[in-house]
Amino acid sequence: MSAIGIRVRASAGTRPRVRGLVWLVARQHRAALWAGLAVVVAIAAYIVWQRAEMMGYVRAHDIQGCTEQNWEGLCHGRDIDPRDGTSPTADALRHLSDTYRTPLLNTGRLLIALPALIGVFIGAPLFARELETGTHRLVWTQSVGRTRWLIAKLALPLTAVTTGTAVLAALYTWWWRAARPQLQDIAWGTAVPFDATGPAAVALAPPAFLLGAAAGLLLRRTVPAMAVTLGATAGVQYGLDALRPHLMTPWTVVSDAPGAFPSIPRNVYFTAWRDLGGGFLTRSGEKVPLDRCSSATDSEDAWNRCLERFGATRRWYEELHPASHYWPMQWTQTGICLAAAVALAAVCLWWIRRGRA
Amino acid sequence: MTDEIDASGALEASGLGKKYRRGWALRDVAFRLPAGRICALVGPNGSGKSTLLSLAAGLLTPTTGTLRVFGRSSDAPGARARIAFVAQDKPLYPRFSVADTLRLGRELNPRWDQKTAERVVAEGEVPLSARVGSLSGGQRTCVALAMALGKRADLLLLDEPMSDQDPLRRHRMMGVLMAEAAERGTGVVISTHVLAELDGVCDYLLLMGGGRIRLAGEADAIQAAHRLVTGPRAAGGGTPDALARHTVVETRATGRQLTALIRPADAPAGDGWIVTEPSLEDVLLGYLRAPDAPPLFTADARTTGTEVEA
Repeated sequence: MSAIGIRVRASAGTRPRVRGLVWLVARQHRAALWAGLAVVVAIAAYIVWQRAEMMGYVRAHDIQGCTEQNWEGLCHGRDIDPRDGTSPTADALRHLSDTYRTPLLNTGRLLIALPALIGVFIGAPLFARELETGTHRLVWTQSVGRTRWLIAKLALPLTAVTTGTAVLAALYTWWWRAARPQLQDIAWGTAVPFDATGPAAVALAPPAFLLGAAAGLLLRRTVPAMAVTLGATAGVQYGLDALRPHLMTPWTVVSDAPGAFPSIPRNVYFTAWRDLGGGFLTRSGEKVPLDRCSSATDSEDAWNRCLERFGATRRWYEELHPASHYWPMQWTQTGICLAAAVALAAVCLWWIRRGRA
Repeated sequence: MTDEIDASGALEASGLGKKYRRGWALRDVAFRLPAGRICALVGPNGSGKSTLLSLAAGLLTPTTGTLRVFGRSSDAPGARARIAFVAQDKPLYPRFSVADTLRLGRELNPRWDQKTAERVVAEGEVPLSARVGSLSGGQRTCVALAMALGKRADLLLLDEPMSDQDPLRRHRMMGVLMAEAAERGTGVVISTHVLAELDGVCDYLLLMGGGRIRLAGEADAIQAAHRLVTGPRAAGGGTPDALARHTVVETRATGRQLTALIRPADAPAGDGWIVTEPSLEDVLLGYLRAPDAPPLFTADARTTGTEVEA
């Protein structure tokens, strides 16, 4: 028996020594930690591989920084026609867009699903499983307090999921920025890539995890907590998506004739997040959004009559967020998410201190 | 300060009540358990034993009144280290090995005694490398007891610890438990409804019924306060006149004879009655059969405010 005791101590001594609650939480989540690490490594390797292949293609066909937008191409200062079947540059650009658009967007979709997965599979069972099976009573009758237990149980997985998400978000941002010139038609303000790149991608993980943890703590049952977390994180992400255009005041650009280019640099226009809204201006400069006539779609005549009724002229306007709005909007959404995370952590602390759990 | 704490006893309840959604589980409980006693907590199912132990372990908060552990509120940080609790369902992490489970105890308790914990596990023939989830009920209990004893607490609260043990292991576990308790002067509260389990082991007694304390005090004092008397039945049934002066706990008629468990007021019964000293089990069974019998608290078990019926 003493031999077994010595063996246990020796094997524990060879690993880095973690102590107390940190050891307990790490031991409890050992399997999840390895699984999470495997997922992060797999996705990271895929991103690195895809980006390397993409960059190899770009270099091989000499199309660095070439852009294609609205059937107009710009490459090393020369205009090219992307529909020109005889141009190898146009061919290469088309091929690049066809080959890497889907992997890039699908990887982004996977990344924006991660917060929900973290909330449902790591956050929700965190307390719910203990409260459901009664194992919390084992820990609560040792010599450490429940508040310290709660903080350890929240802090360790929170650090792990935030680190993992940060690695993936950084790599995806790195890939995205390389692919951006050739894929400028993808609106940067939509969930992919906005929620999959930059600090906003990292900041979605903590509130999702804490939402799951709080749901488990309050509901005390794993499956309902998982269901609530899934619904709530999906709701939060849809909400953020709807809120995003309003995080900053969009620019309104104006053009004098339909089809004519607005009076801003083409580069600014094509790198902006557009499709936010637009329409025609009245003589006095008031906006008549296009969707006001969305019911008059039977014929062009009906459409024109409808617009005329609102006093619209041929001058059109469009609302857009220029690329320079990306970082301020990223940080604003990050702030919202972190504030939500702090609030959820406070709910957990308050709940356990009230002795309700 | 230390004297004051010890004077207040291991457990001291006053006006203690706990209400769940379905009703009161404990009502107006007041008693005192001195430090270092081996106390049997007896009562039928649903009488409030588990609730009382969970309150003492700090897992529940009282609805009314207070329960002080070594003079401190049971949810105070200092109280937690001095108490070890084995819940009825022995919560353990099923995916931990036995060695990991003991390490949990070592990591979370400053006074942890690894040798004692390993000895208890070895006594129950539980391999250290086994996964807790693969253990039998009896082996789980053994690991749970090892966790409680390894904590080196001053008071062990054990909620029906032996209910899933085979007789042999039960005997061995009781032996280990009592040896540890005796060696270190640890107090023990064991809840049970198998009276024989605690025969000759406990020196203190708490009998519960309907969420209240019905008997509290030293086992021999409680035993000595009772007499079994056998005599002729009264003509019209009911309590014979000869017993009227005493507190009658329970009467049973057999033929023309009547056997009564009484708390004699002075000299017992009188002419024509056979008086014997009951065993502790006789006393407990008598109270269990007579839920309305008046409660009894010995001087040691009383707190200020305890209702006493002599």
